[in-house]
Amino acid sequence: MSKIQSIKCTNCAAPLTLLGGGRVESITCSYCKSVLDLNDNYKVLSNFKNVKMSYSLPFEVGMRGKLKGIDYTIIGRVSYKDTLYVESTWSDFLLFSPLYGYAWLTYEQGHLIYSKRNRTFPNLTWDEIGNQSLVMVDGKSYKPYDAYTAKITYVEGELTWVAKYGDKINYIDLIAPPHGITAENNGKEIEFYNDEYMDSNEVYEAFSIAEEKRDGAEAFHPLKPFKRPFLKALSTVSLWFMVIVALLMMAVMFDGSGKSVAHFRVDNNTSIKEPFTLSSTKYLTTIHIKADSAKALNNFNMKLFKDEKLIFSLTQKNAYIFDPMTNKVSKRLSTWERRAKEIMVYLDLDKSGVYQLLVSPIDSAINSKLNITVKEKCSRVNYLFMFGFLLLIFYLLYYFFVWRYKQKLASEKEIDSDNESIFDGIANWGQVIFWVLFVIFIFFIDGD
Amino acid sequence: MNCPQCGDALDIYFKWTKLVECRSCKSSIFLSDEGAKLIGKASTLSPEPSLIKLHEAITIDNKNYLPLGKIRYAYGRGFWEEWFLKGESNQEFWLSVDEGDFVLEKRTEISLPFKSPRVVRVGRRYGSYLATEVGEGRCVGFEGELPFSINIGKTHHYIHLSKGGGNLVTVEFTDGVDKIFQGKWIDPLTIKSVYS
Repeated sequence: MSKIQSIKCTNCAAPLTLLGGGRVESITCSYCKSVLDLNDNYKVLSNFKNVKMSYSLPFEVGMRGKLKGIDYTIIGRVSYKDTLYVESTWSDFLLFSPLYGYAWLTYEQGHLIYSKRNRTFPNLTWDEIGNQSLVMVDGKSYKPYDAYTAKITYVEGELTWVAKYGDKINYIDLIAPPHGITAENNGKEIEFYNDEYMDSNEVYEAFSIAEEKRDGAEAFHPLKPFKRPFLKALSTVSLWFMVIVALLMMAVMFDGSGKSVAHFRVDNNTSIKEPFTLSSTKYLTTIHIKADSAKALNNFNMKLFKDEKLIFSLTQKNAYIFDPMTNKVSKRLSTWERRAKEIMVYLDLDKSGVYQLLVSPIDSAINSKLNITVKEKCSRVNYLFMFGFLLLIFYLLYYFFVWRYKQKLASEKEIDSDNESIFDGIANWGQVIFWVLFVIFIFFIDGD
Repeated sequence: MNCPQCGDALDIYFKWTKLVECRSCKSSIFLSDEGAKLIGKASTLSPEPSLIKLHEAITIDNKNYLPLGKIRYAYGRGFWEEWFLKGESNQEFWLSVDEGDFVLEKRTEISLPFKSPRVVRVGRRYGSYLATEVGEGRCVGFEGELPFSINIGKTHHYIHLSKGGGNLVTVEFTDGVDKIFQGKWIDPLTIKSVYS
C-alpha cells in the first residue's frame, strides 16, 4: 500500500504544493526560497533568499490559462540575464498540461513567446547550427540570428531540472517570424524549442491578467512579425488602381494622339493669319511652335480668333484667355520661359468650326522663323499621371516599412550568414522595379 | 473465448494477442495454442488524464489506429505509457506517451552501428544516429490486450537514437532480448479521435 505524504519544505517546514508532472525535479519553497531536490528526499540544493527581483511580472506561479487550445498551469519560473548585454533580461514561465506536457511562456519587456520542445531538428552539432545560412525544420527555413550565453538570476516554483543561481546556458536563436527555434545547450545536452511570438493581449486574456498588470511591448523583438495591415491593404489596392490608371492612360493617349489641322511657317517679314477647322472639341487643341533659337521664338506674338473675336493671345511676356462675348480677359496664364526654343500650347476650345491663328513678328529686323502645327483631339494625361504617381507612393510605402523592418532585423543580428539580403521576403520587389520603370517611361512620353 | 476465472467473454481485437486483461474480474489471461490460462490478477492502474483511450479509434496523419492495450512504466517520480495500437492493415504499432511527448513506432529488424545497446552514451554519434536518451522504467501494470506477455515489476531498459527530422529508433533491452522500433515523434495536437 502506498503511503500518503504531506509535503513540507525541509528547510522551513512550510507546506509545498506540487502542480507539475512526473518530470519535475526541483521545487523552490515560496517562503524561504530554498531549492529542493524532489529526487533526493527534498534535499536543499541552493537558496534564492537573498536574491530579490527588482520588478514584478504579470504572471505568477499557480495561474491557469488556455493557450493554443491547451489548458496550462504555470508551475515555475526562471529569470535570466545575458552575460554580455546585462540589461537584456527575461523570464521563462514553465507551463504544464497533464495531457500535452510542458511548454514555456517567455516574458521579455512585454513581448510574450510560447515555446514547446522540438523533436524534429536536424542532427547538427552546436557549431554546425551557427554556421548554417538556413536550417530547414518541418518544411520551414529558419535563419540563425543570435548566439549568446545567459545566467540564471532567479528561480521560483517547480522545474524539470535543478536550477541554481548563476548557472550558465548557451543559446542559439533561429528565426522565421513569428516563429523561431531556440537551441539550448546547458553543457550536458542540447535541446530545441519551437517558439512562437504571441499576441500579448490574447495571452493576458487567457491567464486573466488584470489590466493594470499588463505591459505593452514597445521595444524591438526579432520574432515580432512585421504587421501593417492598413498599409498592406493600401498597397494592394494601390497596385490594382495603378493597373487601371495605366490602362486608362494608354487608352486616352491612343485615342487622343491628335490630328493635324494646320501646319505653316512664319518669318520676321510678314504676319500670317492662318485659318484652321476643328471638326471635334474632344480632348484639347494643341499649337506646337518651334523656332531655331530662343531669340526667334521671343520675336513673335500670337492671337487666336473665332468668328473674328479674340479668344486667346500669347507673347513671351503674357498669355490671356478672352471672353468672346465681352472681349475682356477672363483668365491670365503663365507664358514660356525666355530661353525656350519650342513650346506647346494646350487649349480647351469648346466650339468646333473655323478659327484663325494670327502670328506676327515683333521686330522685323530680327531674322526669325517659326514652324507651327495645330492639332485637334490631343489628350493630356497629367492628372492621371499625378494620380498614378500618388498611387505608386502608396504602393511603395508598405515596402518602405518592410525594408526598414528588415534593416532593423539585420542591424540587431549577431550571427553573420551568407546569401542573405535585407530585401529578403519582399516578394513583390520585381513589381516595385516594374512600376518605377513604368512611371519613368510615362514621364518621358508625357514630358512636353 | 471466456475468462477462466469468472467466465465472462474476453474482448480480443487482435489476432496475435498473447496477454489480455478480463474486463470483469481484472484477471491477467495468457493466451496460448492450448487456450486461455489465468496467470494472476492484473494490478489496477491509477486513472490518469490521457488523450488516448482503450478501444476508441484515433487518427494520426490521416491513418486510423485502434488502441487495444497499454503498459505503464514508472520512472523517477513519474511514468510513461506504451500504447499497443492496431493499424489499418491489422499491423502492430506502439505509441509511447510521456507527459506530452508522443512517439509512434513499429517493430523493425535493422542493423545498428554498435554491438550492444548497453555501450551507448547520450550525446554520442553512432553512424547516422545521435543517442538522445538512455533510460529505464519499472513495469507497473497493463490494461487491455498485448501481443506478448509482460513481467510486472521488471525493469525495462531503452535507448533513443535520433536520425534527425523527428525520426527515431528505440532499442529496448530487457532480459537480454533486444527489440528495435522505428518511428517518428508526433505532435499531440495532430492526434484526433475518429468519432469526435
